Amino acid sequence: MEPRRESGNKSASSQRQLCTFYVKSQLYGIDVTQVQEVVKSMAMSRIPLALHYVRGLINLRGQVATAVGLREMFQLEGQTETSSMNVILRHEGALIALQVDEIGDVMEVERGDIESIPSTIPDSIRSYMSGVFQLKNSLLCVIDLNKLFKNVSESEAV
Amino acid sequence: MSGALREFLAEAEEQLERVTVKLSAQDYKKPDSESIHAIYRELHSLKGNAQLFGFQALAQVAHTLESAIDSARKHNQGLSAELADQIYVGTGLLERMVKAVRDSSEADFSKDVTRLLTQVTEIISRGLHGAPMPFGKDNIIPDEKRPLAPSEVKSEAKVESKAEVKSETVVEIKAEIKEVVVEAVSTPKAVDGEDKGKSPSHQASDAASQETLRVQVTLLDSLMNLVGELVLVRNQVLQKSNSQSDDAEFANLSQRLDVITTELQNEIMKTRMQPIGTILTKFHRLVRDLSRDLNKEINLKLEGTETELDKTLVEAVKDPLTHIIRNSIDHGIETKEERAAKGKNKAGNVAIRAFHEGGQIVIEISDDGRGLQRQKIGNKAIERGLITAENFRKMSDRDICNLIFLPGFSTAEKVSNLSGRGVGMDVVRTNIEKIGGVVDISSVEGGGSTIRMKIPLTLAIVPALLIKTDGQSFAIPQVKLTELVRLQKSETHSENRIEHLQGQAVFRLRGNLLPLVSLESLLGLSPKGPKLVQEREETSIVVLQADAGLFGLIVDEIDDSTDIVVKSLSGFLKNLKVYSGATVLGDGSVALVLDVTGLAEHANVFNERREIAALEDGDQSNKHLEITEFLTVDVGLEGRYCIPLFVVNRLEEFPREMLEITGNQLVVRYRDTVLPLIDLAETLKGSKAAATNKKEFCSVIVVQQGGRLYGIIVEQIVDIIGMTGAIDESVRDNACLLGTKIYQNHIVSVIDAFRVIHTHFPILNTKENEGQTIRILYAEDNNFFQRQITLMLEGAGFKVTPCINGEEAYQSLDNGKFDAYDIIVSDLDMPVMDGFQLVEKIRANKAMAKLPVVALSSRAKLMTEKQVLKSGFDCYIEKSDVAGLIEAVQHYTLSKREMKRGA
Repeated sequence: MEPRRESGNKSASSQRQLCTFYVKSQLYGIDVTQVQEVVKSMAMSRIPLALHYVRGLINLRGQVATAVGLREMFQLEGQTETSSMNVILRHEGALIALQVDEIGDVMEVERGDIESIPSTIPDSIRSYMSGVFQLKNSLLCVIDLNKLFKNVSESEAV
Repeated sequence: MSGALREFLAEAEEQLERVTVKLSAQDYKKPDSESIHAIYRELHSLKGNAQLFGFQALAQVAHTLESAIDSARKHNQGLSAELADQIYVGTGLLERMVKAVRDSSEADFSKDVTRLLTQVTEIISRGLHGAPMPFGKDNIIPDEKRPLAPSEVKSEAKVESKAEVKSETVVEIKAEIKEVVVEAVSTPKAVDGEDKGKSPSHQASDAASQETLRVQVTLLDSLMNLVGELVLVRNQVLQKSNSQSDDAEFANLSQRLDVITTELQNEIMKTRMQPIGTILTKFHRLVRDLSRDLNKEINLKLEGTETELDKTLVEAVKDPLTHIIRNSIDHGIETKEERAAKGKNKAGNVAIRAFHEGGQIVIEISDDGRGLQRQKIGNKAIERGLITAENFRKMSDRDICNLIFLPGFSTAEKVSNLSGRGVGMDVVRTNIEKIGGVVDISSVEGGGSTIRMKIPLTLAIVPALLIKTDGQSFAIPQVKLTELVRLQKSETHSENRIEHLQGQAVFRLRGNLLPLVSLESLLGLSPKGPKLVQEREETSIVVLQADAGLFGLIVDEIDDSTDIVVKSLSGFLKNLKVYSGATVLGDGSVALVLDVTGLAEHANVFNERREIAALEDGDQSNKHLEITEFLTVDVGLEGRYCIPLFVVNRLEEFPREMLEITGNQLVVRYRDTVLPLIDLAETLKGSKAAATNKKEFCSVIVVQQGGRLYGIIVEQIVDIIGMTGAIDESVRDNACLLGTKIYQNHIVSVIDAFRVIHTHFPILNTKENEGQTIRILYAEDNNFFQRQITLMLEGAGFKVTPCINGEEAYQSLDNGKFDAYDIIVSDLDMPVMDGFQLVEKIRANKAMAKLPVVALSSRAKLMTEKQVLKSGFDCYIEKSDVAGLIEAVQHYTLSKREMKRGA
């Protein structure tokens, strides 16, 4: 697995920091540099006809963010709860709020420790991942945002 | 590129623009010595600047032009047409040279320069005095050294200051330009030919008063964005203040905030405003060139050139306007002879009028040419397959005129290099719509046409109407809105209530039938749809202008109109054509902005209307219509043939030498298997065709039947067409035909691909595992689909029981026979009981709730997969996806089969 490139980080450290969160009690991580902020659940406007995992639009201090339910996106059971937390990212100028169940710590991991995702994991999740880290008492899946957004732009709404 | 050089280029561009403007003024006004002086001045200082920067070629051309004018200037004469032409050519050349410097391109202009030099020298040597003078010489021209009268200077300076903002567009990317150039307006400029080496900017900096200054466009943009945000905050504060009516001080403050914000918004908007004249005046040159090329005589009249609109919009309307004017001159205005024969003035007129109307800008381009020839347009549209002859007969005059905006439409008999490539008007409409505007055309046959563009003043802040449906707010841009209609349930006059025509809601709006769609059902908020209309006490209809005409949108509530700042949607939503963006409302919530054109497309408003028209003709029963796509093929026999597209797996072309024969069968190797080939012409004729064609490649339609692929050889694959309505089965003289259809006045025979295969390869009986055959209950109201899909499913080894609607399907289940079927496949749109009602009833019935139900529908329907699944279906398959259907049936019956095997 090739380590993900981090933009602008010239320190060439072997460490990388991940912003972690839980979706259906599984730990996921996103590179901390890619996260703008984390906010509590907010009022949402539904988007009729949108893909099922696009859950609505959020007013983030006057900017409009698109809320994406990770449970729905990963095709996990159950709906994202209304009390879910939002991990705010910026993608191609647009704000995206990934809705997750619970926010974890920012974790430091060794770049070299990343392992490939076992092939038994369903494709619906695996296709969005860049790899997995073994933590002391859990496993941390690293989400590859580029894959995630690429997948989205390729899938078509009716 | 150094800052100074950039400054030189920016200034050169401005100077050339001013020269062009002044030159075009020369065309139709009396000789205006002041303009000639001005042109001279501009060229002169351009020359000086070019020399300073070492652009010798530039300086040379400028010098040539300058000296060419010099004589006219000194003798207070107008420019001869010949000379004016050369100055045009020279200015154009200078523009290209400046651009080349800006782009750092190495373009070689030496030929152009030489040509220009020779020609100008020739004109001058012939003697300017001897040249014909188109302009009256008797004008009294003031002393050339006279300082300008303040009023003249003022107006000139105005043009200049506007031009500065504009040309900054070009410089936009060059972010480092920091200096402020000041134009002295009140100091009269010396009109002195000897004023060498001093560029206007130098003069300007000497001036004491500073009235205009250059600002970066990016700064204006960010100011505009900030004001946009401020407007949103203001809206929120106002809302808050309205809800807290007891706090007088807060109310007072918010009132003031409101007033100031509005004022600020207006002022900031003004900074970005440019008179539309900056682009309109350039059309003088276009018209002049075109009329010369086409040997027509045309007067261009401009009105309202001072009308201001946002800089970005000025740029955006330029291309559409150019297209329209080209079209008017090329197609609209007749030749001189034609005009004379018609008793019209030999010279045609084209007028561009710009004015404000209802908070929007209207630009009208009218000509007094031949107008739109309805029959010709109709014929062309029919020929191009855009409409059918039947539709044409029924179309309103306005609809016919608007046909010219359809993609791929062009009536020019001769494709000229000016227009007639069939992209023009289509592009005009797309471009105008991109900036939130609308285009319309009205025309009197023989008397000319008027094209009317309505565009918003600015893009940043859009006036919009807020509406509510299902508790959710949506915004509709005001520009697309024509009126609001409110109906009371108590109204009994048919003119004032909603009627249903072939199941579609319509409303008589002052004598015109207005198709209605409910936003609720359109967005899938309620699958029941327009039925609710009858239950409402009051119905609110928003009448909207889409490309193809007006339609009414039924909403729950009409709220208020407000200014919104449209924010674009993220990539997750860009496929949703029904929204053009989102905005933050006064209460802090986010509302989606509806895209009217997208809505109309999504609702299929205008297609359905056409279908209804088609239906009336055919005197059909209330069958629900669906457009079916057919592949038209050339069989090599007489007549036209087509194959339903959904049975087609792939289209292939094989080189003839790849075809092989095993036994008696023609085959080809195809994706690791052997594909049996059937010659269609042979099958239809029933006899061996005489030596099949000599083409190098043969076209093969690959069809899947019973899990096997078969290839059908045709002479040529022609096209894909969409047809509605049933297949006429009265003529089926061949077992391999399903019947006939009429398409564009021709009879087309529909080929039964499966029968074609069966005549060569009888169905293999796969009954060895009788007990495990999957039994399908299939509800479909369309005979054609029912038969075809039944055949295909049977071909795949399933047992199929077809029925014609949900009601019948449910009855066959309800008679205690629910376990007679393993799976239900249902169409969504059916009379009596549709697919949604059927699945609802099945899910409600405990005995059969577990039965898998597959929704099968054609494309472009109102529902998304999500809504279909939400209403209880296990999966959603498109009618064209037969392989997917078979797979789905196998997938959802897997557990059942396994259970049986175990038992």
